[in-house]
Amino acid sequence: MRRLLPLLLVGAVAYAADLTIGGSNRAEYWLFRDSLDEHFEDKLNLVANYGSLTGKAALFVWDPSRPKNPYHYVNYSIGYEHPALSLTYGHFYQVFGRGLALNSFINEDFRHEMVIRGLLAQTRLFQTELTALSGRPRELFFEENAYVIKNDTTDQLRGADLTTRLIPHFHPGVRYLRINRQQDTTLWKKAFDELYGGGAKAFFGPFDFYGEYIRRWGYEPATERRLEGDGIYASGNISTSFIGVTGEWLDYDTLGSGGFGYRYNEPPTPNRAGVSVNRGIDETGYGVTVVLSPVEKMSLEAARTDVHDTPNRHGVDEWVGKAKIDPSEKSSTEWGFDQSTQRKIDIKVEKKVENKPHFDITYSPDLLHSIEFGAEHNWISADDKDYAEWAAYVGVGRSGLVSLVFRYERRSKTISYLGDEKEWKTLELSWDITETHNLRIKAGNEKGGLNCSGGVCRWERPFDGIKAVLTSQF
Amino acid sequence: MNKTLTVVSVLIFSCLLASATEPKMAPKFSLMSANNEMVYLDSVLQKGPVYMSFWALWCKMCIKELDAIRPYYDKTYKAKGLQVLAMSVDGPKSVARVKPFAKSHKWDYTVLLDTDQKVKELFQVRAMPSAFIINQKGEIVYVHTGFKLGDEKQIAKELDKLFEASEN
Repeated sequence: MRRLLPLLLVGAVAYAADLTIGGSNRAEYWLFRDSLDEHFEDKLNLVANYGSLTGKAALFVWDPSRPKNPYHYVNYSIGYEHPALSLTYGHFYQVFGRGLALNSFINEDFRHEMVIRGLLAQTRLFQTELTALSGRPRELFFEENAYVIKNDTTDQLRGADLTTRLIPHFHPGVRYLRINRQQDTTLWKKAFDELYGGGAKAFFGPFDFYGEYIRRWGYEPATERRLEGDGIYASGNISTSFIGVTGEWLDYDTLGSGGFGYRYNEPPTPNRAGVSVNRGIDETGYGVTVVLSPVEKMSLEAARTDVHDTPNRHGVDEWVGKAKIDPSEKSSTEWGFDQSTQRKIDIKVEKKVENKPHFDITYSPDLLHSIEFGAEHNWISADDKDYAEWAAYVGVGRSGLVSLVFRYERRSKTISYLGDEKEWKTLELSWDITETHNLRIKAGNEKGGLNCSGGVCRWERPFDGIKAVLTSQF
Repeated sequence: MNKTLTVVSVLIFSCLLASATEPKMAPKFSLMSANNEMVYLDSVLQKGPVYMSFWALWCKMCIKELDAIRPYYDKTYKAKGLQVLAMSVDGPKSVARVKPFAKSHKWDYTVLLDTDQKVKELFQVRAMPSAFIINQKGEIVYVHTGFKLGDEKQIAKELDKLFEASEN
C-alpha cells in the first residue's frame, strides 16, 4: 500500500482536472570554516486545492553534522472553505485581535514559529465572524545554532473570537482563551490560565482608532492563588496622501502568558528594534510615527518610541529619522539616523546607547543593470566602554538574473563579551536560476550578537564559513 | 529517512508535472483591507486582472517595488482595469502603521492585511517581495520574486502581454 501511495498521488495530480497543487522548497546548507561543522535544513511546503477543500503539508528536516541531534516534523492540515464557514483540522496559525490574548505565528526569517495542532472553525454570517479553536501549541525556536522546542507541548489552548462589522464605522469584538496545563499540583485544581476581553475599531474619514483590553486570570502554583493581570493597547491613525501619523500606547501588567522563555500571547511593542522589555509582564510606553510625502519622489519618516517597565529600570527608547529620495526613475536613495537607548535588555550590558547614521544608494543606468552601495556608522556606548562599529557594502546586479554584494564591517576595538574579532567580510551571490528558483551563496564571516524580532531576542553566535540557500516555488 | 526522501521526491515530481500541464489556479481567499472592508479575490477578479504583491514595512525592496510600479499603474494599467493588491504581511506588532504608510506613499492600491500570513502561506511565498499576476480566469500567469531597479520594466512587459492576450 505504501508503494502505491506515491503512484496514487501522481495519478491524482495528473488527471484530476480541478485539482491544483502548488509548493515551495527552501534548502539551506552551512559549512563552518574552523570546525568544519555542517548545518543542513530543508522545508518543503505543499498546498493542494480541490474545489472547497484545501490540503497543506510542510515537511521540515534539520540534519546538522554530528554530534547534534537532528530534528524533523511534518505539519499538515485539511481545510474546507465556504463563504460562510471554514474548517481546518491539523496545524494552523491564528491571531486574536492584536495578539494580546493569542498570537500563533510563523517567522521563517527569524526561524521562529508557534503553531497549533487541532481544530479551527470560522463562521462568517451577517457581517460577523466567529472563530473558535482547540489545539496543542508547539513553539520552535532557533538559538545557539540549534532548533529547540521552547514550550510544554502538553498544554492545551481553547478559545474563541467574535468580531462584528454590523455597525458602520465601528467594529467591536470579544475574545476568550483558556490554556490548560497537564501538571496540576494545586489543591484547588485550577492549573489553567484564562485571557478574556475585547476590543473595537472605529474609523471615519482619514481617522482610524483601535483599542483592546485583555484581562488575565492565571495560576501560581507556589502561592496557590489565581494570578491576576491585564493589558491595554490603543492606536490611532491619520492617513492622507500628504501625511500619515500613527500613535500607539500600551500598558501591560502580568499579561504575558506561557512559561519560561515562551508565550502564547505576544502583545505589540511599538519599537523598531523588535525588542520587548519583558514580553507582557510589566511594560508601559508609547510610539509615534510620522510619514510625510512633501513632494513627488520624496518621503520622510520620523519615529519616537519609549517602552519600559514600571520602575523604569528596564526599557528601550528610540528616535528614528529617514528620508527616501528618488532623484530619477534610474536612482533611489535612502538616508537615515537611528538613536536608541537600551537599559538592561542585554543581560551583559546595563545601559547601551547607539547613534547610527546610514545611507543606501541604488543606480541603474539602463534599468537593467544596477549598482548599489551603502554605509552606516554606529557610535556605541555600553556601560564604561565606548566604541564604534561601521559597515559598508557595494553590489552590482542584473535585473532578473544575478547580483553580487560585498559587505565589510569593522569594530573599533575588541569588546570582551562580543568576542575577539574586529573585522568581518562577506561576499554574497544571488542567482535567479529561473523566475521561481533562486540560489544564494554567501562566504565570509558574520558577527554575532543580540538579534531581536517581534519582541523575541536571541543571542547569535558569530559565523565564519559558507552559507548556501536554494529557494524554489512551483 | 530514505522513505521520507522518496515521498518528498515523488511529491515534488507530482507538483512539477501538474504545473507543466495546467496553468495554476490562484487559491481563493478573503482578507480585511486597510480601509476596513472585507475583500474577496473572486470579486476583485470580476473587475479586472490582478497584480498582487506581498510586502511588509520592514522590507525595503518590497516598498521600492510598489513605489516603482506606481507610475506604470497610474499612467497605463489603472485605466485598463488592473487591480493591484498590496498584501501587507505585517503582524499585530506593526499593522497599526500600515495604512498611514501606504496612503502617504500615494499608493492607489487595495491594501490587504494578511496579519497571520495565511494568504502568504497559500501562495507559498518564501522570499519577499513576491508578486503574482493573475488573469481574470483566476490563473497565475506570472510570478516575480525579489526586486532590483529595472524589474518594474519586466513586470510592465508581462502586464502588456496579459492585456494583449485578453484583447485577442
